[in-house]
Amino acid sequence: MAIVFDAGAEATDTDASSLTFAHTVTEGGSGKILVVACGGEEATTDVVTGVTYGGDTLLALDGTSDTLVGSCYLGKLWYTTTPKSGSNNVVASLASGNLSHFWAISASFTGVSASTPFGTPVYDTTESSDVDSDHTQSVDVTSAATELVIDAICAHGSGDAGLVAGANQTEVGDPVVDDGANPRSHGGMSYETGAATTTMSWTQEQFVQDWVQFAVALKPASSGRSRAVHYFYDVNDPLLRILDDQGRPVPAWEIKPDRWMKVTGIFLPSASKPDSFIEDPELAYIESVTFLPNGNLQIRTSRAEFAEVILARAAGQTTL
Amino acid sequence: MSSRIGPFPGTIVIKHNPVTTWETYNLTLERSISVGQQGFYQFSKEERADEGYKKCTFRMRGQKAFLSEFMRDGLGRDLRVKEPGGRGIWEGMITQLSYSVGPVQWKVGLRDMANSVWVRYRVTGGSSTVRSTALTDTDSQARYGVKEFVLSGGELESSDVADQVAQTYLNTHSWPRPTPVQVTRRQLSPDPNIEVKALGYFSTLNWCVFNQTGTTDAQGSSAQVTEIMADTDIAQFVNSTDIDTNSTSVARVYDTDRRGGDIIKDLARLGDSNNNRWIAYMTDNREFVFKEAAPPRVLA
Repeated sequence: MAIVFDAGAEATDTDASSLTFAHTVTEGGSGKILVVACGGEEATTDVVTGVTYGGDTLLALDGTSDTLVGSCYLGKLWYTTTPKSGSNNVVASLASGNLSHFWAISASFTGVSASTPFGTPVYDTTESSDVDSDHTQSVDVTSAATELVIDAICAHGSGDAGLVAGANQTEVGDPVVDDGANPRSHGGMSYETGAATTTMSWTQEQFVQDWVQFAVALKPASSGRSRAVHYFYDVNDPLLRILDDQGRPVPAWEIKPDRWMKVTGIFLPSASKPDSFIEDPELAYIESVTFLPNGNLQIRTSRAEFAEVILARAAGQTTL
Repeated sequence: MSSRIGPFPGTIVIKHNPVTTWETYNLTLERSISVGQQGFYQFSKEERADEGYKKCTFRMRGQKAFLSEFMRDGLGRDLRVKEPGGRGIWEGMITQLSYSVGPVQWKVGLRDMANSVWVRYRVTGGSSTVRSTALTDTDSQARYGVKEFVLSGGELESSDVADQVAQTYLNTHSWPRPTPVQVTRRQLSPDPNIEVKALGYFSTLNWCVFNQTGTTDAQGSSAQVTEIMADTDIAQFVNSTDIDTNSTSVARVYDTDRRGGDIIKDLARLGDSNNNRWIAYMTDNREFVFKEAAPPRVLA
């Protein structure tokens, strides 16, 4: 399944203990993930300690940390693999104190693995003593063509121009927070299709002092179903219920095709274990489901073999 | 296998055609439990691994004026079925209506309608087939979308003759025509009703043919599906696509007036290099999907 960018949002404040802004996760799709990066200036003990989306608490990605270089603060990457659909508020908060020139960027994607959404984060930093004008900050990430690499960056300094992402990157956001006269904190988030080595870079064409950047690969969801068997049916059940993988009855009109069903109660228990579903006599692939007017449900199953390969067809009309 | 439960307790929402939008229409039907109460009854639906939402039928009761308007304008409207919680569980297009009132039953449908017609023929004495110019009824297309029909002309003297044949067919098929199905001397049903039949939007992929002769090499089956879906007539009712990568090599030349949906289903049947089955279907919000079927093994 391909990883696809869904939506982005950003917000800033010159001095605050929290930032609240709306982010809209598009309805539909699967393998969703929402990530949030935060940064600011002169954070010592004042760091972002929690992020929520629609009231749900996000997790901090292991391998990312509250990093301070000079006056440049970049927080952990916060994420959830179960973001609510629709427009909801992102709230990034500090446990105590305020963060100066506070910015936050959110991004949502689809097609990401729920069990292993991330690779290993990689960091790179640059201190003011190492920087003169026209600086390019970059970090290399090991990934793959099926993955999507995202990065977040914070730069502190007085450069008027915003940060510019590398040529193959797509920017999600690049907020600039100033003090009313001069820019103080620059943020950025971008993504790029993965490769064996993916370079994520940002450039600032005027004087910027300190930089913190990290990048991490998003892992794709498997193209099959995450739960191998969806439905369970016991032929001896007097209520003729079809159960889901949690044992809950599924309404007849919600049974879907392209799923596997386990039908029990036909054969006696056995220690034999087939190598695949096709060999298991209790498993059937649901080809079609028909809900009938009298409330009956008809499920047509197969062994999920190939239909015959059509080698040649004459020109003809297919009517409805 | 069968599983019994009561009649469907959800709702049916009928809206205007989502692509042509020639009107503004929005109707929500609840289940009708008595004669004369506007609503639906005798509901059934079918969904398949191949194609996704396949078909849906129900009967609709209401006042005569309401039923008459629906018979006149109901074809081509968008139909969505929602479970009691409001979530969509089926969607498609209304393609056939059968109106039973008193001793008479009338039927009208989109199956035989075609508003873009041409002829595949061979000029007398020639050695290769050619296509005549497509003749169209733009008013019908503005209401229902583009629906093609290709006539097989055999040997014809000239393109003028081919155009004459195509125009004659177009004149009699570009608009759906209500047809009396039964006229009896007894009441066919105690109350006026319309039997509504809808097909999933995958069926609209077969409204138009796909021909391509400009490029003669091969490409992966997913790239070929993408190329077919780039045809704005074939994909006129497709809102979005989710096409996974499949590098199974397929030819790019198509010159036999095959329907887009049929080609895509055949491409899916080729599977992939890991011997997995693939399927193509339309799902919620008219999204087209081309991907591997649920695998017959536990995933790692």
